[in-house]
Amino acid sequence: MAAAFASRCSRVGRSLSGGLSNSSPGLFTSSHGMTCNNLFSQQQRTFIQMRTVLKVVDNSGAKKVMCIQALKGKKGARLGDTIIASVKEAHPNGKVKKGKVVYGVVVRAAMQKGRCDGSEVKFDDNAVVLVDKQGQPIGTRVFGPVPHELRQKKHVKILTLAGHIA
Amino acid sequence: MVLKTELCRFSGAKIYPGKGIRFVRGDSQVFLFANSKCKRYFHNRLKPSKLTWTAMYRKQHKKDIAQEAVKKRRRAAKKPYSRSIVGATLEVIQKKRAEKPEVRDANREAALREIKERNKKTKDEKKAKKAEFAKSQKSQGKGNVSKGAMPKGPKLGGGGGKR
Repeated sequence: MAAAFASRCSRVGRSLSGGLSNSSPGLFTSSHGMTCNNLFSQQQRTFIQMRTVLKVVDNSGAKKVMCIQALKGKKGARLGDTIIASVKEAHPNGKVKKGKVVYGVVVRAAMQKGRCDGSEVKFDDNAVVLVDKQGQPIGTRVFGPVPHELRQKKHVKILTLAGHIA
Repeated sequence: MVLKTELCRFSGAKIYPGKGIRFVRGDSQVFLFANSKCKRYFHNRLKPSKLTWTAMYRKQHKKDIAQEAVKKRRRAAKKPYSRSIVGATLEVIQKKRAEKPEVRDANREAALREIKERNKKTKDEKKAKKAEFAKSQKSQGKGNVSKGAMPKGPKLGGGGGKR
């Protein structure tokens, strides 16, 4: 009974469980700790939209970029889509400098994407490979796993550079 | 038609085509989950060995002993087969294998005897040669006339040195 109530409280929010825990110590401690610990893993992953910060997984020189426009769909970009982004962090002697507006292909997305066989695929993080307007990658290496859906999107060059295709 | 099924990394359940969630971790490791329940428990770091409905728990607690009692497949011992090698054809090998132990022993003894005789003969020949050589040396020694004894000690007044 207490466990069910605790779980309901944790779903309601932190403030309520925090307030209740003062009156009855030891009742919600474990539940509250668990929700705080796993908040990141349980949160709903969504589209890559304006102001989403993505990791750059090639050797173009940029480290982090922020999405300023998704070039497809109303809601935002997903796995394999192209975005326009602004470079937020960059290596000092890379090809791309901080503040530059670049194009990028989303090669990893935390939001799940349905595959043609009915299964779903999702990744640990949001990552992009920087490309030019023609869709050719700026860097010469791609780090980490990339999905084979990029073949349908005509990004074969990225697939050939990738170390592991998931 | 054979359906290609995969196993859930958390529960151990079969995942049929059209089902399942594939999660790819940063280190390129792929995890397959049967449903969102398994996925959620995995991300919340729950141990499948502590949940009674998972395959890991059932295996650890020996729940399916009746089903698990599968016969251990005995590996068929490889039959030794013969083939011809350099210096011995298959017929020769078969003949040697088929011959009786008494015949084999007799052959071995005969071979050993032959080797011994050969060794003896070579020894005798060597002895005869040595004796002949010694004889010839003796006869040569008598014919030679010895020169006068050379003075021992260092040479005095060696010539041809630097001034």
